[in-house]
Amino acid sequence: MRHWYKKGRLGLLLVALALVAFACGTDEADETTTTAAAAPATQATTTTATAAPETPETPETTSAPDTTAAMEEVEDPRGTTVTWSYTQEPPNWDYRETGLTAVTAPLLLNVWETLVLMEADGSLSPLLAESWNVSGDGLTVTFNLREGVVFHDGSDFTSADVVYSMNANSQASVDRTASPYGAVSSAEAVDDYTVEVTLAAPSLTFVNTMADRAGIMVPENFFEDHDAATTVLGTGPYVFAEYRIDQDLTMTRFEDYWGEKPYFETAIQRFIPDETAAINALLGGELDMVASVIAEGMDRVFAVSGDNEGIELVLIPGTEVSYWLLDTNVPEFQDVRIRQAIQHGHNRQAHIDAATAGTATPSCSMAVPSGIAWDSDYCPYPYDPERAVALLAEAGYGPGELVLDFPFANVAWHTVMAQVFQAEMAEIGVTIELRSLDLATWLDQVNTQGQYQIFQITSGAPLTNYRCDRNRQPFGRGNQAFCDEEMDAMIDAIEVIADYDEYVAAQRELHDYVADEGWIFATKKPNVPVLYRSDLAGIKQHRLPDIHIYAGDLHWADS
Amino acid sequence: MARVITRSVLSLVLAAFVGSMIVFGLLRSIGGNVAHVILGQYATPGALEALQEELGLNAPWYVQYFSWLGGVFTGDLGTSYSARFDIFDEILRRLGPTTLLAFGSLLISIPAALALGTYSAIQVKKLRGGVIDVASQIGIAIPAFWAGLIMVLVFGIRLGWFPTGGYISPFEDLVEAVKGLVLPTLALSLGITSVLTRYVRSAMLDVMGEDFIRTAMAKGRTRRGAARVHGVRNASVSLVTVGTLQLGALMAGTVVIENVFVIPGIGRLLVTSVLGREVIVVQSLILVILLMILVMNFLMDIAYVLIDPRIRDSQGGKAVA
Repeated sequence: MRHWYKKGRLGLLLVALALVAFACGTDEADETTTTAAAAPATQATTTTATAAPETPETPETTSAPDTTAAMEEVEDPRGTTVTWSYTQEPPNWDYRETGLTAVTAPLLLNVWETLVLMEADGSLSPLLAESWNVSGDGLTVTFNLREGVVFHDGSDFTSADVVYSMNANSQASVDRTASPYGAVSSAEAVDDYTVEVTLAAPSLTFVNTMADRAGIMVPENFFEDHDAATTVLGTGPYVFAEYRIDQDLTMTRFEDYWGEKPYFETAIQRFIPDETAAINALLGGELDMVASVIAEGMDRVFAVSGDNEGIELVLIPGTEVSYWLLDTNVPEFQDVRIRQAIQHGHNRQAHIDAATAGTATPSCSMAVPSGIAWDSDYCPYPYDPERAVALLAEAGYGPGELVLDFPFANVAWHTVMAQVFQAEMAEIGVTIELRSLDLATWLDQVNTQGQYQIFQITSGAPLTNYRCDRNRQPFGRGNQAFCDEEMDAMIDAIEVIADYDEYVAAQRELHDYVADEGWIFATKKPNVPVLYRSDLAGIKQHRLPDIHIYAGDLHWADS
Repeated sequence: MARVITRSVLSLVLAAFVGSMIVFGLLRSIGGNVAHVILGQYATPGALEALQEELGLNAPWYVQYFSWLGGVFTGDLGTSYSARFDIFDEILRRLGPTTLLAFGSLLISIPAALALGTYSAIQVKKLRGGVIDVASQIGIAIPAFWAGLIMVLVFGIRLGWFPTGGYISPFEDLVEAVKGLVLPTLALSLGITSVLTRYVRSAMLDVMGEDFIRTAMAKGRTRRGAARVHGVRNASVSLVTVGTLQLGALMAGTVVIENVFVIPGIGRLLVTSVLGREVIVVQSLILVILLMILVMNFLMDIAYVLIDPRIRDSQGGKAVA
């Protein structure tokens, strides 16, 4: 008996271990999750849906089903939930404070809506503003707001919300949210559905910026009444329902949406930083879409879609450009021949093949998005290693005599691009010393303090943001004292042009000038590979300076 | 026994304190802070300065560190800088998946290693023993993340038996929770089982040469019977010793496995917090991981006592007549 008891104690210990482990798993995720402010309970407000805004071209031909059909499709065995993965998770959801694309990727247009909508070709469509009018002198912009729009908390969307949002956005920490308001003298409500914005100088870009973060509309007093880091309120087709850190974001269909209601009742974005894991989850049927592949998954995209029936690949035209920036303090770079030599030694296609599996578009132009009116194929210093070696020799540099410090953020494709760059520069006799940094260190040392001699980023920022007083590398930021006064003068001129054709010509001139000078030079415009199950339709092109995933038009094919 | 436990608790508290200081110092020295991460690449110097001030990052290092440490003693680990979650609550939530993974792995590894190691020792001169020997060497050589990926490809994608990743609480759906934990637990167990198997085998080979085994066999036990009744228990003492040493590796393994299988546990929080420069979250996590190792060490100490009466007796237990 004693013998049995002794034997049993080890077993009891193991059982106790199991129970402890099991008990620790009881914490419901909900306890620390963030939920949106209560959605309207009984919605007394009339929500007469007016016509939906024009939607841009989609990479697919299938059109969205109407709402009635959607409601009848509850029995569809594929369900009424769409789930996709995205690699990045934002530090928090405050778009005024958080600069990462990860904030807007799932929320812009799904939860938050802007005054206007930018189409894939850069043109504007109505969204929360049904129409707008720019005065003859270009100093007054009048927005006529859509009536019958309600926020997710049930309050009506009126001009008071627009004035409040504009003022709040102008105070944002994120430059992209605040800087468009630099041109604004005042924003006033003319009546409940009309807002008049007065500009200090004419600006052809102000209305465009109302399609991005600066144009996000929130209810009056939102930032005073809520913690914007954890609460999201908008007017979009989906409500910010539940956020589980490190797991997923759940959005539910907003039944009082002013426009056409989406097909899917629930849209879930899972945060999967490892692209291999995300693609595996798609292949395992746990995801309907991998929303953007930008890192280690890039090599697999063609194989995954080619080898697996039921998985498709679409390349969404990008809205960003990958480019290189030279330290204006380096004495060697003061000689334009050195800057030219580096570009002649730079093989854009090699970068595209190695880093993006050939999916990006080579470009010497900084104009984004691709195809915008001032985009061009102007390329003053194309790949020509012999010319590069000759220029270096002319400037007095033999093989190995020019050594450059190149710190890079070891995320996405940057590591691969760094290695390719090092190899191609070696071919022309330039030594590149690579420094691999995690993103936070890179943001501090390189982006803020300017500790680099050459570096590379991918961004959708327009060239006008590079004016010296706008704190952007490599002009007037960190230890970069140099200002390109000619470029600054061109930017100043562009910002007060009222005539569109003149504006386009001036933008083209600015882009050509920057390409000639070579302090900044472009490599590629990435197209974003999206992998999805083939019966999912309605995937949209990106229309903003960032990737975003619009769920409003997604639906099952044949449904 | 009480003295041993008190000593190990004190040494771990000291280790936690020193560890958190080292982590604090390292994170500050490598550059970049949470304000850079929040604001991103378009941050203006003015906005950076304002956010750093708001988050208290401009205060001297000792003010920041001791303010966190003071919170630890009052049970308040603080709020994360960026996502604004209560750190204590979040760690508690993350403990569930990690504990299931770590203890689940031990529950698989220990019995499996005992069985395989013993069998391999008994069959030492036969092919079957050799196969286990070779297999355990291969198991040690295979990285956990690679094993996990292969399992996902075979059992998750090809066969579709288990999900490829993610986590479901057992209280939401027990069956799905267990299914979701099978592959990560097996992947994590592989290396530890292999290491432990080799130790058990070696210990069993030693034990099988002892006089008491020969005596047992002289009294009529078969070799296998003597091993089972008298050998395993003796060999288990070294298993517990090595198992204790493997706890650190086990926790390190959960960090890797949680990232491969997208499990929202302590390991994933640690990685994202380091990358996001959430210094106080990282410090708190180091503390919790050390405490977890303390708890597991404690359980191993108890296991020693249960397995070996000599240890119990030497620590004041009843002498066996």
